[in-house]
Amino acid sequence: MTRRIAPTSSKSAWHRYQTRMESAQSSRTERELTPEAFKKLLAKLDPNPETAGGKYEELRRQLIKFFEWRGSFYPDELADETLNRLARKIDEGEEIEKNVIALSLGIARFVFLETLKRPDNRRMEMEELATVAAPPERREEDDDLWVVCLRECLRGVSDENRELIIEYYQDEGRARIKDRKILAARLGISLNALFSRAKRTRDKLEECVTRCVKRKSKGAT
Amino acid sequence: MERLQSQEGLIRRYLLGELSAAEQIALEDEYFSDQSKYDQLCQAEDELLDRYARAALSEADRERFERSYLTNPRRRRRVMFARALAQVVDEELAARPPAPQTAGGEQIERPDTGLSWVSHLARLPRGPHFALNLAAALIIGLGGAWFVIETSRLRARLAEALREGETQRGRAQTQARQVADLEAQYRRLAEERERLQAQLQAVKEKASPSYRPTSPSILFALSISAFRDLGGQEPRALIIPRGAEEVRLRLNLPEHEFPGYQVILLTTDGREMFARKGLRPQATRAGYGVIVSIPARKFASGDNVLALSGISGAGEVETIGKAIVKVRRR
Repeated sequence: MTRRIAPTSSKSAWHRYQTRMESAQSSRTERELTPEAFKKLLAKLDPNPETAGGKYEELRRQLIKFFEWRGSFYPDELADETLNRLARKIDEGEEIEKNVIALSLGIARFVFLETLKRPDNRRMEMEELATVAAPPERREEDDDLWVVCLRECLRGVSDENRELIIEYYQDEGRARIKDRKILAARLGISLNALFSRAKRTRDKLEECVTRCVKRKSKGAT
Repeated sequence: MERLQSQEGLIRRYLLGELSAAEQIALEDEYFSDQSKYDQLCQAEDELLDRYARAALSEADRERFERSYLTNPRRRRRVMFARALAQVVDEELAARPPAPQTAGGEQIERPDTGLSWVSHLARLPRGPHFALNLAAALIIGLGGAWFVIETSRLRARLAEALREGETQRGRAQTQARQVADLEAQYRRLAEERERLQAQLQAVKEKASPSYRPTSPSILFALSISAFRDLGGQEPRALIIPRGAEEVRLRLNLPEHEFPGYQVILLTTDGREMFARKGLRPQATRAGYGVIVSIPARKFASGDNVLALSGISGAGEVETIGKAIVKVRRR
């Protein structure tokens, strides 16, 4: 199994843990996750604390995507719940037959099935909703706000990354593939490496833009 | 190549929530253990979002995408971001001056002018022969100079035309995207209008005192309790009038227990006459409901058995119960 780990310090994993514990004082399950359990989870991910922090962040990102791709409304919360349960299992000394990643996926599936039974998670297909709800209307001012925020956030990235985003996401279809090959050759990197760089920048921009839109929408109301 | 395409198809179906439970589990196992597979999924998702944002998806794909993405607030935000990204990228590219270039990309050679040329001329021999040569040289020189100037002027005009063409192309791209967007919006509105008109017509017909159902179908409602207590209840009577072609069976569900349901019509000796799977519950004022149309001819006169099962999110079928329906024809 190969897992690419960003050079993230374990500090960020601990910071996330502390934030979660502070923001979830009322939640019984969150309080049950002790620092010792969290420490054991990190150690299980990698004996080197520095690498373990990065692996934790990577696993969390992957779990968020898992829940998102399954159509969950709150993938972040469910990913954290999965990691809590994983840490508790390790803390309680449960025998791990496969590796930790595979175990986390098993727990994630269980957490997902639980959410389907929750009354606040009743969902159905769009076509079936058509008689009671019209699809969301696309308003021009909403589009404008996202564009304004994207321009604002683009000012915060380096010239190099800004150029990369513009060139990487231009056109579509075959033209895009050809352009990307040219771009990768010009930068002297592989297509995969080019994708990773563009994706990292895109994700950061998306986070920044989403925050900006929320902020501006609140300010407007 | 074929395998690659089927992989791409599999990933796309996963992202649109169309894989079977087994396929879904297999793909998840794969991307949790293989980082490159996970990257591939992320990339495919971004491509899907960008193609939707640029109105480049086929009609069918667009509908599937909207069904799986626009129902989720988080995914809706991703769509908004993709649209903004496409717009900003297009605008940035359109606003850029084109890379400086000449027709052939080469530098225009200019004649060596100034003092060195005059002094060079001064060193030439004199005489009548020389005058003739000088005149010829002057004609050739002037002609050459005119040629160089004209070429340079034409190249400048060509470069300008290329720049103009580039700007036009950028504008055309943006306009094409806007037109495609408007067309998609128009199609959606037209569909919506048709649907509303149909609904309005149906309401008008029902409200009219002279209304008589023209459709040769009859509605038959059953609650879930009819299935759960087979022994303790009388069979439900269903009268199928002459000419009726279908029975629209409506199952009332007080709770939304399962994401899907299946209904099977059996004879009393267990022979399957009709089955409909993957029924999705619809919200009603009284809870939830499932409607299934069964051809009237599938019902036997006398006792019939309807079996109802729930289908979990993981695709597992759980039997809810059976109900007996006594059919009379007249």
